[in-house]
Amino acid sequence: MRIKKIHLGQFRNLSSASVELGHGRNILIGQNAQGKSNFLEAIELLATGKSSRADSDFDLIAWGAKEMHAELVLEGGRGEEILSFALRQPAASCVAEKGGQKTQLSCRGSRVERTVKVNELTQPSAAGLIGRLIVVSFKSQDLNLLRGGPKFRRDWIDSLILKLRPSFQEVFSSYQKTIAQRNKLLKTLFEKGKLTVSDQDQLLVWDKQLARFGSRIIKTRLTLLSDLLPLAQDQQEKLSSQREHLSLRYVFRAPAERSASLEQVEEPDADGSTESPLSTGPLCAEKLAAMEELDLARTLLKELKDHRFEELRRRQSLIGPHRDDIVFCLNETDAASFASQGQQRSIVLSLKLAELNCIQEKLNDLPVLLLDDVLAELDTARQAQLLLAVEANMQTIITTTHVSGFDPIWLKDARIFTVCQGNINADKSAPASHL
Amino acid sequence: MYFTRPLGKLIEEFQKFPGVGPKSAQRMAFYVLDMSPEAASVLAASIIDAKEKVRHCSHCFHLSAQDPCEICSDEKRDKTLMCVVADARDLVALERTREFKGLYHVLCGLISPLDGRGPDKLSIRELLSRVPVESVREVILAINPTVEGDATVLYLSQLLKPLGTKVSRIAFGLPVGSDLEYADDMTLTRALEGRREI
Ligand SMILES: Nc1ncnc2c1ncn2[C@@H]1O[C@H](COP(=O)(O)OP(=O)(O)OP(=O)(O)O)[C@@H](O)[C@H]1O
Ligand SMILES: [Mg+2]
Ligand SMILES: [Zn+2]
Repeated sequence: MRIKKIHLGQFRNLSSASVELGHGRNILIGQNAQGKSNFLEAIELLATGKSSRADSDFDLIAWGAKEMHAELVLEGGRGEEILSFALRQPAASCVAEKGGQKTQLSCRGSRVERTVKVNELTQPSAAGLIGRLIVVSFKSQDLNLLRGGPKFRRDWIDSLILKLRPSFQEVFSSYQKTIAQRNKLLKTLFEKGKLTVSDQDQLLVWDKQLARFGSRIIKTRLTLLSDLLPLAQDQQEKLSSQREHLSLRYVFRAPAERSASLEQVEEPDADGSTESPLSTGPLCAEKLAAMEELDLARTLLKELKDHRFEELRRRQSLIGPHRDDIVFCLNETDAASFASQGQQRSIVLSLKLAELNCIQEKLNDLPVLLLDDVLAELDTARQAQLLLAVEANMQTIITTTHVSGFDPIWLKDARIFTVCQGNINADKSAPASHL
Repeated sequence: MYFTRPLGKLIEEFQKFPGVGPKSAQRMAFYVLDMSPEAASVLAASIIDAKEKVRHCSHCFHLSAQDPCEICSDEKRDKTLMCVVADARDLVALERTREFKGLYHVLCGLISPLDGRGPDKLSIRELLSRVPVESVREVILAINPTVEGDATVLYLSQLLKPLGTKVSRIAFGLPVGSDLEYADDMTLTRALEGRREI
C-alpha cells in the first residue's frame, strides 16, 4: 500500500501542508524543530487513530487555532481510500441566567470534538481507522523498547496485533472496560471494609471477565511473539555476524506479597515495586505457542483469587495482561541491563525488521515505513541491512537534518522535500545536490 | 448575551436530558416558545401525567400505569417461562416480535461499579424470589453482549443455577444477511460460543 497524498491543516506547527508522496523513498530534510516529526505523527494518527506522543487531542491543534484536520489518500488492495481525522474545539461558552445569577453553561472542559471519516463516511470512533493504512515506524525513542518501562513493550506488541488483526480492538477495549470496572469495585469494597457473600460474588464476576478477555490477549501476544522471534533472531544474527543470539520471555507479573486478610489493610505499602515475575523461565517459541487460552484463563483466575486481599489493599487490578512484560535477552542475559548501547540499538533494529517481515508475510502487502531521524544514526553496516529489508517498492518516508551520513543508495530515485517552519515543499533540484 | 430568566431556566432543564448539549437545549427551548399555548400545555401535562401514573409493576418492574402490569395480568401468558431484560425498552423490543409468550423481569439496569450500580441497585433480589415461587421452568437472559451485560449475566447465573431452574441466554452472532468473511473477531467468537447442534 501507498500514501498518494496527504493534506494537513493546523496540525501542530504545520499550518497548511499538501504533499504528494513518491512511490518509493521520500526524504524530508529540515533543521531541528521545523515540523518533520509532526508530519510523521500525522501519518501515524491516520493509521492508528491515535498519536503516540500527544497527551490529549488538544495538543494536536496548532496553537491559537480552533480546529485541525489531517487527511490522506491511500492506494491499497481495496483501491483508493480517503482517511481523515479532524478536531474542533467547541465554542468557548454559552451563557444563561439562573436564579438571578449569570451562569455559564460551560462548554469548556468538554472534550475536543473528533470527526473521523473513511471515504467520507463518519466513523463511530477513531478505531474506525485501524487496519487500513499499515505503518511501521522507527524512531530514536524506540530504544524505549529496551530501556523504557513495560508499557512501551506492551504497547508495541499490542499495536502490532492491531495492524495484523484490526478487529482485535474490540477485545482490547472490553479488557480496558473490565479493568476500569474492576478497579472501581475494588475501591468501593475496600472503603466498605467487610466483604459480604454478594460482594464476593460480584468480585468473582469481574475476575471471570478479566480472565476471559485477558487470556485472549495474552494468548494472542504469545502467538505473535512466537512468530516474530525467529525473524528477529535471524536479523540479530546477521547484524552481529552470528555472534549474538536473541531470545525473549513473556513475564506474567503478580504482586509478591500475599497478605492473608483484610486486617492488614492499614499497613503502609512498603514500596510500589513489590512485583515479582510469576514465570521467569525463558519461553522458547514452541513453548510460548503451546499455552492454551483456557489454561491461561484458569491461571489468571487462580492468581486473582490468591491475590484478592493484596488487590483490595491496593485498590487496583494487579494481575493480567495490563501488567505483563516482555524481557529481551542477548546470549541469555537480560539485554535491558547488560547489553551495550550499540547492542541495544541492534536489538531494536532487529525487532523493527522482524515486524516489517511479519507484516509483509501475513498481510501479503507492503506497509509504509516511517524512519524518523534514525537513518543518520545507523552505521553503514546497519543501514545496509535495513536496505536489504526495505524493498525498493516499499514506500518509505525518511526525515533527517542532513543526508551526509546516508548510504547513497537511499537517495537514488528518492523524492526530496524540504521542511522549514511548518512548510513542506518538494525539492525540484536533483537529490545528488544535497550530498 | 443573556437569556431572560424563564427562558434560561428552560434551557437549563432541557440540558439535563441525556445526550442534550447546550446547543440542542437552546433549540428545544426556542421550539417550545414557538408552540401554541395549547400545545405547550399538552406537553407540560403529559410530563406530569406520565410521571404521576407510570410506575414499576410490583411483579416484573416493567413500566406501566396499572399494577400488576398488562403482561403480568394477562392470563394467556406462559407463566413458566421468564425473560430477564435490562430495561423496559428491551422488553418492548422483544414484545414487538410477538414471538415470546412468557413473562418478563426487568432488572432496571446492568451491574456497573463505575456508575455506582451494584447488584443491590437492580431488581435481582425480587427476581430470585419470583423464580421458585412462580415455579419458573426456564429463565432466559436477554441481555446485551457488552462488558457490563456479560458481567450481569455471570452474576445472575451464579445465583440462578443453584435454584435448579434452567437458565439460558439468547444467542448472539452474525446479523441476518451478513457475510462471515467480514464479521469481526468478537462477533465471530460470540457466534462460535453460541453455536448449536443441527
Ligand atoms: N500544537 C502545536 N502548535 C504549534 N506548534 C507546535 C505544536 N506542537 C508542537 N509544535 C512545535 O512544532 C515544532 C516542530 O516539531 P517537530 O517535532 O516536528 O520538529 P522536527 O522537525 O522533527 O525537529 P527535530 O529535527 O529536532 O526532530 C516544535 O518546535 C514544536 O514546538
Ligand atoms: Mg523530529
Ligand atoms: Zn408486570
